Amino acid sequence: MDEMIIVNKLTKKYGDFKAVSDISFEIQKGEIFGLIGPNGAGKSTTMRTMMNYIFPTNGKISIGGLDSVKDYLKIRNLIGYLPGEFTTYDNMTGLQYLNHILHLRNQPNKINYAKSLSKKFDLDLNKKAKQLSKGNKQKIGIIQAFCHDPEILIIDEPTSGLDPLKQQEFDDLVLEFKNKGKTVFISSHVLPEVETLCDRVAIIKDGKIVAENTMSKLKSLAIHRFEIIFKNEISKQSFQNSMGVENIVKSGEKYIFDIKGNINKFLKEISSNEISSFKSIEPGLEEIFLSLYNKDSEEK
Amino acid sequence: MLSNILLKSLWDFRKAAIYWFIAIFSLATYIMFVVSSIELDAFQEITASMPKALTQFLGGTSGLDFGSIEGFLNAQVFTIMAPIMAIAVAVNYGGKATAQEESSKSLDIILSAPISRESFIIQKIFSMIIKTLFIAITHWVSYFILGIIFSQNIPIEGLSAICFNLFLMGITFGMISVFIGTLSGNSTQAISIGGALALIAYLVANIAPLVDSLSNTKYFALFYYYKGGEPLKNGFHSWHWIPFLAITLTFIFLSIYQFKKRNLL
Repeated sequence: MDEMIIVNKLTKKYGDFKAVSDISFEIQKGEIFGLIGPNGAGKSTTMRTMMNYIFPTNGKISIGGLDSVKDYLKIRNLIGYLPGEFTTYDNMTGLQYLNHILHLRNQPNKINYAKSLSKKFDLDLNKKAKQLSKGNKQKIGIIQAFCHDPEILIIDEPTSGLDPLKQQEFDDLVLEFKNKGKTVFISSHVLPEVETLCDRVAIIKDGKIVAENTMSKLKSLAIHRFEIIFKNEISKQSFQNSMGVENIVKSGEKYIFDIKGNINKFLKEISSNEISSFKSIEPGLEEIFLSLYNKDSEEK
Repeated sequence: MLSNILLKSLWDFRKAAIYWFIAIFSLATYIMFVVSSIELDAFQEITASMPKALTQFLGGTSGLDFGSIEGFLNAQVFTIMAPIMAIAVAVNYGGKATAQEESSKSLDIILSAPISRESFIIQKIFSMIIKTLFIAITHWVSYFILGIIFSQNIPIEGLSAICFNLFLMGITFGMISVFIGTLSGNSTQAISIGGALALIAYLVANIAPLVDSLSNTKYFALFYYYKGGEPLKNGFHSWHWIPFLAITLTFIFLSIYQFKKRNLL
């Protein structure tokens, strides 16, 4: 079995409001899959349905070959979970909290691994949670999700409150986890983080998935930007009707072209002119996200 | 102490338990000091001259009886103070049982472990029951020890009976709060409603006997079953346990059902 998570036509309604509408995707074993979208798009609803905290109105979720509603207790043995709003108990130290959670998981012997993770994140486990900053509390959340060495990680906005150095530690930890053949489902609106970590991404908008693909495929769907300096003066209008040109900006002697879709036709067309400088700017996930997001809105 | 939800919940109560013990034992010491320093018969003459309605309102259906240690404790401790303490603890921890963890989102991590919702709520209910039992037992221990110290002849069966009824009434209101918490996930609402119901029950039990046409409504108030049979004087009155047990069991069932089937916040 290669699919560790299968979400099949999942719909979650609250009265007439559809928080998630008929979404489907699969996550392979050993894959890092990202679900991105703005607040309220349906990311947390999808994750909370996976965790059986809320029940699907329609559709099914299978995790590790088990049904998310019927077999939820078995599934929890496979999962490490970090919710979007992680809260610990203020009256407990980090060590007491992690001990408590590991006992609930019947894995108290994993406390040494938890301690080693706390060193990696530079976290003092002997302080009570009420004495910790938001970022340090979040580190406890990350450690509790990883410390029992689960097969699948489901993590919602994981680096919220972490400083850049610790975000890097987190990224390394996730990649180490993936290298062990484990599966990660990550939800975030921090696009660079998703771009760094994820093999595949789905974009969710108003409870619907508007795009889902590998990072490289998504990039090919997005707008490509080229900065070109021509040897001879040419008119902006001559490219206005070229294939795929979305926008042209002239800045000094430099032309900035935004090209949508297949770039080959555009490249052929401009190659008839003499070029003194050519720069291709790879679209970031943010550009891809905005491009696809806006496209979906326009289609409506 | 942190190996399961019940033990963690009791671990959280450890400081509060010390404060409650000090409060109850101090109050008991003060009461026993007063009772051993005054002439109860003289006190009884004063209360005998009061209108019956007033003594019933202050002392419940049995009225005020300061002629005996049982009557004095009944009026001074077990009519208002002890029920307030038992109900406060039960309603507070009942209302918070699931609702506080749900609204604060700490429940998300707990339930990500292989623990069913049923197991979680049952452990929380047990925790509320044990905390309420602690209040009842602390009353029993305090008055038993101080009765010996102050040479007051407090009947052990009567003391046991009223403390047991105190425990039963506490967990009944506590379970109502647990249930309201499972409906809304809002602990403030659960505690407020549970407390308000206890207050209404107290007023109905004490006011209803003053008006002939309302006298039968006392049977709908749990305070009647707590103290109506005068357990401190007469000992255990087992059929008075039935309403408490029936309501408690009903709300245990409803709470588990509701918590299991509801979308969490």
